[in-house]
Amino acid sequence: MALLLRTGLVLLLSIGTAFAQPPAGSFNDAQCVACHGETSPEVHGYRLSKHGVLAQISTPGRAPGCVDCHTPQAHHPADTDAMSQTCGHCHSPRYVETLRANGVRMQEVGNMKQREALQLLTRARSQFPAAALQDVEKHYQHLQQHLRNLRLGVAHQSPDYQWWHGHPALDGDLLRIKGAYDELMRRHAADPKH
Amino acid sequence: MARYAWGVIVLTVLAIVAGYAWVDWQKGGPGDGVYSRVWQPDPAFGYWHPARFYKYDGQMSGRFEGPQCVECHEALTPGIVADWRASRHSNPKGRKPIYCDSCHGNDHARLRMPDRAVCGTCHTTQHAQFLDERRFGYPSHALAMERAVDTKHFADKPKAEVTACLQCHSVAIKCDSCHTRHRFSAGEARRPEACVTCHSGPPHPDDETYFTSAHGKRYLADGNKWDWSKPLTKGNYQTPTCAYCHMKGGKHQVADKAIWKFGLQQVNPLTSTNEVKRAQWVAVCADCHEADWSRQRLAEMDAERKRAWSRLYAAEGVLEDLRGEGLLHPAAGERPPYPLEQEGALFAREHIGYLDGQASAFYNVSPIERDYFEMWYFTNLGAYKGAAHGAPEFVRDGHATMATQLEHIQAKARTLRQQGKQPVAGPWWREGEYTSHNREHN
Repeated sequence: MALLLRTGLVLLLSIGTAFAQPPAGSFNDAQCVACHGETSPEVHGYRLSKHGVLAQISTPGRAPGCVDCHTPQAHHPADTDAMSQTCGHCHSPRYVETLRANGVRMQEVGNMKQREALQLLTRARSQFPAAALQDVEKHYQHLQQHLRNLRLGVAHQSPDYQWWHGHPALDGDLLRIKGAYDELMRRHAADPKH
Repeated sequence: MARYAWGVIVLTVLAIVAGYAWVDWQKGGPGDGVYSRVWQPDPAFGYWHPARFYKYDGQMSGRFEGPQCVECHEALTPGIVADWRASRHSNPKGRKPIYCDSCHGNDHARLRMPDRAVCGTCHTTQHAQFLDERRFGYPSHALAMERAVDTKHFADKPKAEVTACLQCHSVAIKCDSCHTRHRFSAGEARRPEACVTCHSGPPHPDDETYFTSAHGKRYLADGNKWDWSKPLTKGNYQTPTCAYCHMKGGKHQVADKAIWKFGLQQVNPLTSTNEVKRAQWVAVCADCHEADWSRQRLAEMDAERKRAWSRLYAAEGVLEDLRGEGLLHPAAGERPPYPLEQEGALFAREHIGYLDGQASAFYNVSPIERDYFEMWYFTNLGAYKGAAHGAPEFVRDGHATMATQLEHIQAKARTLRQQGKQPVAGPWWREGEYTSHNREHN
């Protein structure tokens, strides 16, 4: 029984390791969605974007799908110049550049929120034992998810992911990290052994 | 006595004139709206509000006729030329084609980004209907841009951050939010997906509530087979879509039947105005359902709203008590400034409830205020949309979550009371990379 369990565990771990590295090869949109999942921020955010909407309800080929921008060799490092050319099929170079630069700035504002939170978290880690940091760490994990939503919202032009699943969610994480840190400091002041 | 009355009248008239002049002056800054003097636009705003912010860079000059535009852009931007060729603009029945220059102008050095006013020169009925929506107040498509730029958090936050807002709120400015360029198809805008880029996410899960309703399930199963060129009238569609109910007959107004509106305030659903709107809803439902059955569904929604507001008012009451006892931590005067408020202001006050400005209270507030913001702005609105769109599981889950959130807020309030008056808030509330950046950059 123990051997069976151990073999199962090893098998599960090796599958996990295999998927930690994105698979190499050539893909189509259906395969992308099958692996990433309909509810993943990358697929759901894209579906909500105007491109994603048109891919669902307009004539085929009118709006870009996954591999039109990411290429069928999607897991290779992205070639941003080639991506810009895809945008240029419909949009002017100035439009593409303006929106891209805006997206970089929007993302950077998100990074500022993350760095502010990390600075406080780092201070908390140096002051308190790990067992006391559950709340702060949990909020920081949420913050990292929301920062990813923001990045994908920018990349896929999804206002819902840039905003509701992005920036205001990051604001909530940041103030909750501050609140949890506040709580730690207060308890410590009341009882330094705590 | 009459002399004093005249004095009061003259002063009142002067105050009104001065008020108008003040608001007018406020709107004269580099930004837009009543806070226009305190912010600078991001370059991307040019595409979301062209009449206000778009500046052509003049890299290309010369005057061109429509067919010449098509000839060059066929090679430069073939996608939009193909769109135009597939549109009715390129081949209107019995008329000459509407070329690029009809909307963008002939002079390449001064090209314009068309907005609804440009479309409205031909599509007069739709444009007039759209503008007429303003008389129903917020929320409406026609007032969406004002709603965005006149909020304090929009004015206060870095402009690259709030570009996210304008992508949707530009529906007040441009027609291509629904009729995507350069095909501008009516059939495309009739489909529910045309709405979901904006009508999605925690405060307005219109997409999820509709798609999980009986109406939406039927649409998802069969919608691809329907003829979307047909007008939105009785008998043309087997199940209603967003536009079928909210823009019946293709009328370009969505606010005219709104009773509960955004769901952010409690309303009296039985006023005479709302009774007129209710009758209009029943008339829409009556395309398929019995009138009595429809009235019953609307009454159920009113009951759901009443239950929601009893929970929301209970939570607001908890926060108001804490505010009165000075137990919100950090207190208003100890936070980074609320949007546009002065740091360390004499009469700094926490904002609780819609009319007090809580819609801007999702950042730089104490955690318990944010908890209420999420209960009010996310869970409450999700339950409301579930009730409105016929998705009972959203109502059930939403109310269960609101009950949990209220208990959580009450428990937190008990803890705050036990802890008593807090010392002055630590510097981490007021300093940090983003917080400091935002103090100087908006």
